[in-house]
Amino acid sequence: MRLRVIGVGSPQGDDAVGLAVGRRLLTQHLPEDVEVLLRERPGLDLLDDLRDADAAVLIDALHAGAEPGRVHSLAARELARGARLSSHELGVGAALALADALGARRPPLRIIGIEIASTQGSGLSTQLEASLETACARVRRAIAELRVELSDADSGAENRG
Amino acid sequence: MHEARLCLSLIALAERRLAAAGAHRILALHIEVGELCGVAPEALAAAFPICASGTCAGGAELRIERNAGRTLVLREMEVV
Repeated sequence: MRLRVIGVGSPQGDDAVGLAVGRRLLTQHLPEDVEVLLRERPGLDLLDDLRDADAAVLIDALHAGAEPGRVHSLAARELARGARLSSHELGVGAALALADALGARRPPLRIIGIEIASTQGSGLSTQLEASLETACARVRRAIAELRVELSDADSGAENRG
Repeated sequence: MHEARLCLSLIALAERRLAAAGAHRILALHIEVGELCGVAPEALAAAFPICASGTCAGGAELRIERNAGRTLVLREMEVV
């Protein structure tokens, strides 16, 4: 199984939080089939990273009106319904919506969105620094959930066969 | 996803022309798509609103005309 964790962001202020979570995960012990990637403003290239993965967790900055540092777990369809990720040129939500609109393959996904305060300056706000570990824990939980989802899908296929 | 990338290029081109014209918003784009240029017009039409959202072309209409050529051409723009 190939599980991909992709930290997405831009270098501006809190918008870098997805990259920061990805960097932190790289220093931690993860199962061998989990690969962590860091992607600055990937736009449509994000879909190339998803194409050959069995499942993926995306980490990105989020503006959903909650307090900065709050960590949200979202399904891809919730993004498509309009939760807005930060203003990358072509955000994660738009890239996924395009994949669906054009019938491109994409694997089961979880999105970990971290509510951000400011996209100015360099470095993360203190509230966001404090939320990095929570976000890492959510990524691990999302990986575990995706494994269950995939094994359910496999056994379903066997039953049908 | 070829058509999605084309849409982004098309919108970037339209935005440059918009700026050159001193206008602010794109209301409609009229393009011609050659039968031999390897682009699926339905896919362009599906990708366009998503690619345009949040840009100067957000909500704009995409008018697609087919021809027998090998190229994709941005023929006209309606702007304000």
